[in-house]
Amino acid sequence: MSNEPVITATALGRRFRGRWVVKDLGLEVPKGSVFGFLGLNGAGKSTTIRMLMGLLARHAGEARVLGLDPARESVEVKRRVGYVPEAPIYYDWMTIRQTLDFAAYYRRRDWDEARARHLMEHFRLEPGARIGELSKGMKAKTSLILAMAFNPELLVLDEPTSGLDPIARREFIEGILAEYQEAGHTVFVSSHLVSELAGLVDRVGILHEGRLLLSLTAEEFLGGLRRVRMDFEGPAPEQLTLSGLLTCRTNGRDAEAAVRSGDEKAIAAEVQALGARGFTIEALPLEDAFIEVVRAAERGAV
Amino acid sequence: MVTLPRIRTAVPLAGPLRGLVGREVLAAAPALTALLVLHLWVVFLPSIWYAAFGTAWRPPEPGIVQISLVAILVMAFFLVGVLCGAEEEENGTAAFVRQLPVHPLRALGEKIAGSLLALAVWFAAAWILSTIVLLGSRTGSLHYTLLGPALTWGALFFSFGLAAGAWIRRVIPAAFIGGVLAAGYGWTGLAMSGSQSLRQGLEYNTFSIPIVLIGCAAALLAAAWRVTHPEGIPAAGWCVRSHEGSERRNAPVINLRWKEWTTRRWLTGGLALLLLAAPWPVIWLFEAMFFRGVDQLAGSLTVLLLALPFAVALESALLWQKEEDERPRCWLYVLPIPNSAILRAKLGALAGRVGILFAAAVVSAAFLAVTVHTEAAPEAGIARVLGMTGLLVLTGLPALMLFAGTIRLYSRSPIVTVIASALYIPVAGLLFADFILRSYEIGFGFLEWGALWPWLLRHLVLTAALGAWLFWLHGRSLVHEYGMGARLGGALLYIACIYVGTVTFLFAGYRELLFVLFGI
Repeated sequence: MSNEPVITATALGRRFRGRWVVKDLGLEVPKGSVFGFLGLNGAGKSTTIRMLMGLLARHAGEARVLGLDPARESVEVKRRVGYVPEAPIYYDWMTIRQTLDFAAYYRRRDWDEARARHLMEHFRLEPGARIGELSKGMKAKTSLILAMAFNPELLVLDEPTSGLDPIARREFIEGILAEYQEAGHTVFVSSHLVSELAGLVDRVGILHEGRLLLSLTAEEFLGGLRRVRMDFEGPAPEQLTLSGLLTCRTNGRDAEAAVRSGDEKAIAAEVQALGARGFTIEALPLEDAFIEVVRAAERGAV
Repeated sequence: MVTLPRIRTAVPLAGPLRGLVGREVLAAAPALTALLVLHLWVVFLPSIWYAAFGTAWRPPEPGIVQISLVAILVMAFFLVGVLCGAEEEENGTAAFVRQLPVHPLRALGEKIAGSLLALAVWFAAAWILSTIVLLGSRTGSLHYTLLGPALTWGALFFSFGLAAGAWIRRVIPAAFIGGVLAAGYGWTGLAMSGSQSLRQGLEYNTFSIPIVLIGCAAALLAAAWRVTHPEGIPAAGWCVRSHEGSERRNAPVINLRWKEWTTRRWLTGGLALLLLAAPWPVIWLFEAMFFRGVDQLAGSLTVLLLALPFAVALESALLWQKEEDERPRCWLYVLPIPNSAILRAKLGALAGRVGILFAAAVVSAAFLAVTVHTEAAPEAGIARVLGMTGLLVLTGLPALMLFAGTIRLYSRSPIVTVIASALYIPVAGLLFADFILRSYEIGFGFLEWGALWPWLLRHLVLTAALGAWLFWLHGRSLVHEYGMGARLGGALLYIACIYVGTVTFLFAGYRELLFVLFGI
């Protein structure tokens, strides 16, 4: 995997009504990676993506997508990037086939009709069905076909699986997206449903209140976080003094903490020093890791 | 089981039905406000013109106030009926209302009550304002002899608008079809009730009340049936907007131009037919009232002259569908198409549609000219009238198109856009009157180029200014997502610049017009 970035952003910012929704955002997405852009609702993910796509003017900073400035070269960015907006709006009166043909006309240099047909069959979509009569999930499938049928070098997905049923979601993530990744393309996917991206993303960026808290490889991120469960003879101390402590919760004699460290021996030593009777140290799944980091950010610990 | 105490609120909670009444009042407010502004604009425009370019204020003419109030009253009833029937179905909130524990007929009843409440408040405001502006003149307010027919037609149009809205579930098509049906029924009823003495019937306000009541009842029943059967007519397997999708033969090229032409083609066709048919009821009416020849021609041309700009405003108001209302989510803007190309394609298709409507109006007018026998008016006179009409419309339409397209970017409602765009129509009329009078003053014949080019130049400047405004708003303002306040501020600044520039550089000779119009 090349480390050449396909997306770079420096001190990127955007305000609405005087309030900074995205501020000082620095971002680097290497070529060929699957970048999970995670954040709570309202964290600024869609705003960032819209700035990267040239759909929204930025108020601060710089951005480059495939070496292009989205603010000045938005048409070229859109030509080369497959983008799935959150809950996209199509023309209700068109059929799926007409919608695809409409997009194909403007992407005629790159449109891969065979791939479009393959995806349509894969998703079991009727080409003659009207958009206005499709369910939310079928619209989501249509939007995925529209974004992928021209084999873009970069795929930007804003909450792509919202509306998909569990089977379609799994098929999309484990089948199509994984296949797409194997072909060496880059995927930038935003979601607040973190668990669905587990095992897929190889880089993680967490956005919180418009700021990028961290941007690491998935191994670094998950390898650098541990959950410690402890039980004490008496009541657990309310304040646990552990290195890299993110969050801690106590309940009677039990305590649970998330620490930003992958060195289990060092953690064990610290826990024993606290006087714990017993303890377990475990790696966190992606969703739990995300939650712990965001909770820590809300306390100002990150 | 633990029983939780009831929570008392400081403010009594509104029931869902009360909520529906309130929603209807609020939903009708923008359209009614726009209508009120249009009414005041029509009433005050000559006075504003006079005050701006003359030496003294002149109060509005009572006749204009009355005619405007009657027309606006009927229009308000109709639009509120359509909104009551179709708006919630179109924007999707009807599904929420159906989830409430309320019988559909009660919900409809509450919606109708809310609509009528909004109309009552609006009418009181319009009446009071009309009376106030005329400084207590008795003839200024709506005379009771006009109130009866106005309310009668209003009730008819409200019912038909409601039924069309409930069935079609989309505001603009419902307004179109409901309006045609209501007008057709009303005219037929009027002709039947008047029989051989239509003139007498009109003069003495003997519009057949039973016929109106039958029409209203039938329309209300149709609306009631529809709200209780949201899936349509099972036996016929037919339901508007729930038909089965079928694979259509694809057009050779499916692109933005194709999309712009394909969508709303039925509306354009319908409007063209309407323009072809619009003058004929007037001719029949005038015939029945023994006003023939020039009167018939003038009356029918006036209808045509009013119908065409409204049709164009309607087409222009639909220039943007949901595309601009929810631009971040609109898939069109994800495609690699420059904003300017989108604007160009849309305006090109709109110009084509307007061209079709104009051609229909020209055919209609030409047919009138050869059909209506005018002993008093020689052929040259008719040609002149038609030429004047055609020139006014042809030169004014591009600016109207751009104006309506721009307004639509400020308002989410096509109906409000059409009404707001109509503000332009009397302005164009006055500008045209100015042009004619000045042409005659300087001794040019009407259709000579020497008299024509200043008029064309003015409209060219106005059109270019409006085009620049639309271009800025579509390409820049929306990408920057300026708030509505900032955009309105920009618009006001822009209008002020256009006004000052136009008045300073182009209308230096306005005093001659005032002299001719008002004798000063």
